[in-house]
Amino acid sequence: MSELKQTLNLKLLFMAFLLPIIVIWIIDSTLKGNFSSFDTSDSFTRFANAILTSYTLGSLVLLGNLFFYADSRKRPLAPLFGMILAVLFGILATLALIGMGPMLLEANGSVRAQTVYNIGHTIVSFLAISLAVAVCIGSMFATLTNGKKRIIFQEEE
Amino acid sequence: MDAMAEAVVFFWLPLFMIALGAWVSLSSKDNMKSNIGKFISIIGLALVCASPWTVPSSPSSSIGHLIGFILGPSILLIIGIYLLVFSGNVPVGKLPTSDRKLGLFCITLSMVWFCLMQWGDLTPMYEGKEVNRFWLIFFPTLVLMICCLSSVLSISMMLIGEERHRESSIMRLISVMSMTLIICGLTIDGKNTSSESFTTYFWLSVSDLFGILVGVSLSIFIFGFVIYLYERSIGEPNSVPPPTGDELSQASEKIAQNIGGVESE
Repeated sequence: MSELKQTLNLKLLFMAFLLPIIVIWIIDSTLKGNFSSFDTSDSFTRFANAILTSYTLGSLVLLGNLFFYADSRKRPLAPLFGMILAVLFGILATLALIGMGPMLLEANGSVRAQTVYNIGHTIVSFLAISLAVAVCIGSMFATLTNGKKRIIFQEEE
Repeated sequence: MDAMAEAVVFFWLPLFMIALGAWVSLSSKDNMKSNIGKFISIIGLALVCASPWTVPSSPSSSIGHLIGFILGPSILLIIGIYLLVFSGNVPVGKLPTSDRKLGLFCITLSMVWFCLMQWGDLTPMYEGKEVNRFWLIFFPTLVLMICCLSSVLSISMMLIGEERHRESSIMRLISVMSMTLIICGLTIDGKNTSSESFTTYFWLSVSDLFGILVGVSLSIFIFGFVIYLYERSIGEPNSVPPPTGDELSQASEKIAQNIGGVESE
């Protein structure tokens, strides 16, 4: 029963994440009179580039994180090797897929230009996401701390 | 020095210095090392912000240009939130209640600043000619993420917390306010930016956000998988021999020293 409730809660949270986007889409479509104010081909290109770049950068950060893990495990080489392979896979997949043709090129002439643009784009998106997370978590704490002081435990008689 | 080498030396290297400094600062327990890390980060940030002057030929320097522009309102926003959180009922580091108004003022000012950057005269214009294309990515991603995340937090407060209706409705209000900003961006032209370009970049930022979520989740999954494979391969740890009589008596002595005490009234 509790597992079912947990799954339901997760679904509700996922819906809460999607709902504003759906509402904006409906409002935008209503105001502009058509249902496709975004280019699906461009959106797919951005989606694919974002996956490749964030996977590679994320793996690189986690590779750095392995040093903390290694401290508590007598510095094993196997997981380090595994993560280096994962990073290399990301880099090679990015270069190969961008080099395949115009599918993943966004107004950039070469693989190198697109790769550098992808990294720059991800850094800017990461900055925006970090600031938004700080704003939302901070606002949540502000609402919690600025409310009425609650009695958590009743004094024992 | 050719353009490529200039970009590496004056932009990508300082950018790497920010990450390296943050890593050194966060990972070391030593105060000296931590301060060195912070110093490296600050130098890197200053060099990145100076990149429009040091490497004007590189398109990457527009990231430095953007960071220079958003630094002011972002710091103001974070200071405002800090003042607002710590002027409330917190057990440690409590600030005077009057700081709440100052915090609200800082947050309002920073939001007005961001709005003026989108619709007013403060838009980041790269080389004084065109709107910095990274601003067109930053602003839609920021408001979209605030809108979605505050909606999630509003629901999670209702699901997890008890009697959190007031807090939940404040988070919902933040979500609605950011949604209003997005709709304004989709319909109202700014002095330097058009609603059409905002629409294009907004939907691209939706794709970008989902792409980043999938990519980061994938890398975390791979990381967990690598650790799981390694932990599974090392086998069961050797079992230790049972305690001797001496060890048992030493343990019981320690336990006897630490139990008991006076019962509370």
